[in-house]
Amino acid sequence: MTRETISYAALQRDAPVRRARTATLTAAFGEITRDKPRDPVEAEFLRRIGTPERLIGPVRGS
Amino acid sequence: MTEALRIASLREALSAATAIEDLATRSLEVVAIVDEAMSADAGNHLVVVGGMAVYLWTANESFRTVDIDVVYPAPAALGAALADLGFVRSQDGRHWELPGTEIFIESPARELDAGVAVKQVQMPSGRTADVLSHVDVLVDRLDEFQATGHQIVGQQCLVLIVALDEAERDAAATRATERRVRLALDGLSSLAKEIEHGNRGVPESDEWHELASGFLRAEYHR
Repeated sequence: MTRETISYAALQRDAPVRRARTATLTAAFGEITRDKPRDPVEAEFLRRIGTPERLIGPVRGS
Repeated sequence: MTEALRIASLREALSAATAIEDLATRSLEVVAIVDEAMSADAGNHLVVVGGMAVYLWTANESFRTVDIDVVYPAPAALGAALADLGFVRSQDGRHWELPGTEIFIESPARELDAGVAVKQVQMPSGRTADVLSHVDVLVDRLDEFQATGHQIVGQQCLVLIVALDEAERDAAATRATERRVRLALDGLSSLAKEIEHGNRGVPESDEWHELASGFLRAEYHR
């Protein structure tokens, strides 16, 4: 494993560049809907904090 | 400083961190505080992986998440530190929630792949938080996509691919070859370009599954 130090300021500085690189694709995706099964404990927490159902997705075991 | 005072001071820092409005800053400051709480567990550090790492490396609000997945080699020490800081463990024993906040931590695995790169992020507080590198988050997601064909994972792979810079692109090719997801990387890179240039639409759910099983078959039969 290698470990390199970066500053959070650098990460924040790069964020608009990364966001711009992904903008066209994100627009093509439209509204994101999760199809990957979610852990029930996680799903319950996300519902409690008001996460939309489309982002919670199917719940494992239900 | 006594241990009780040290924990009290970290709890105070945690309380301040939970009030930070920006999700990325808040999440990394929380991880950094938990990491500091385990400073007695010398040499080991929490590493942020999963959806939060995707969000950090793409800065893309479409993939915003509040779940913080971390890898740590000593679950008992992590559990003790989280309990000291006021986190409450779920009944399944794998999730930790800080009551009254949107802080939710899961430790899905104990070990990282041996060849991974980790970025140690120096936070404004002076603490540090480790995050799996952009390249290795992508390679993990490619591996998951190839195995499952989930649309959301395929979409995350595409945005992680287009968010890479030149140097990261070369490293991704090397790592993807090592992890036997090179065909998925190449195939999804081409797909991203086609979508960006308007030459094709985003795959439907079935198509994602077909793509993934095609990559898997080809990768393991060449």
